[in-house]
Amino acid sequence: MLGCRRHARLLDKSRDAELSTREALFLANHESRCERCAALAEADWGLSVLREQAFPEDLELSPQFTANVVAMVRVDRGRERVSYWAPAMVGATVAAIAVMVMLQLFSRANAPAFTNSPVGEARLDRSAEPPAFPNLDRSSDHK
Amino acid sequence: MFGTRAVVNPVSDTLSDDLHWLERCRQGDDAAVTYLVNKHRNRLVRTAANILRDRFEAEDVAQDAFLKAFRELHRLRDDRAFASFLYRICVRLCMDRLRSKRAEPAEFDGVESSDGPQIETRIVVEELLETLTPELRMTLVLREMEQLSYEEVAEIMHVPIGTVRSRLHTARERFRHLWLDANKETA
Ligand SMILES: [Zn+2]
Repeated sequence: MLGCRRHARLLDKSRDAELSTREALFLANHESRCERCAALAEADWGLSVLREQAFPEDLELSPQFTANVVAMVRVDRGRERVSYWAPAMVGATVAAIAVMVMLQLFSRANAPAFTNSPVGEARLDRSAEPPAFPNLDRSSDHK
Repeated sequence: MFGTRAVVNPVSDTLSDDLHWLERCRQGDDAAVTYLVNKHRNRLVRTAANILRDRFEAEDVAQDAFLKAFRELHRLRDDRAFASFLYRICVRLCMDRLRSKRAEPAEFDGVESSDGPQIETRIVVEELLETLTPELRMTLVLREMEQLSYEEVAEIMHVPIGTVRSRLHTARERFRHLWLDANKETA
């Protein structure tokens, strides 16, 4: 029917602002002629019911609400601090390992070569005379 | 028909002492966190409860919203906008919940006659809201239940004001039709 769209627009407007007399008259007029729009206008009451179903402003919260949030924030900050320092810690550990490996390699390079067999050879020369030992026996002096 | 309630306006309701407490909050002061939570919790939980129609779930979402807001405090360019920053996060979390709920099959156990007509009306309203898309439902709740202005709804939902107008028009029209059908069924 002619005017249904205008009716819908004005019905909407009436929820946000006061309608002019002319607009209000148009609504009443149209609703008397159009059954569908009259029904919709009546259903506007549903939107008022919806508003009445809003939770109260002094909605009771669990007594632990704030304490829970503060605890969650504290844990989060701790995690954040760890994740902030983690790259630096990993970097420092890697650097320390690198320094130790380099020191190890450097000290090995300068050390004498180590083998299990001696460089020189020891031999017993049987052809030579046995060394003469001095006689330390004191009894022969008294004779 | 009704104007916005100046007292509960979350977007423009930014008190200057928020700035002081936010600064302390950045320095890791727990007392500052406590102060800001106490100041904004009721309004935030109420908004989430109106959107989700479940006050216990609303508390969960509000706590998550606080946590996220404090974690992302470095993103807040103007401390005076802390309230709307917090509400935006909360509304976004509510939207995520609604979307994930929509993926699940709806659960309705029916109404006991002993619960009375008030409970019946509440359940009818909740059922009707559930049939709307999360975007339409959110717009309708923020405007009709929270009584926010179009500008505030646009800011919180991060959409142009024209989108709010068209969504609200569609949501109201759909709600009226659903209300008619629901009343025809019960008649
Ligand atoms: Zn009509």
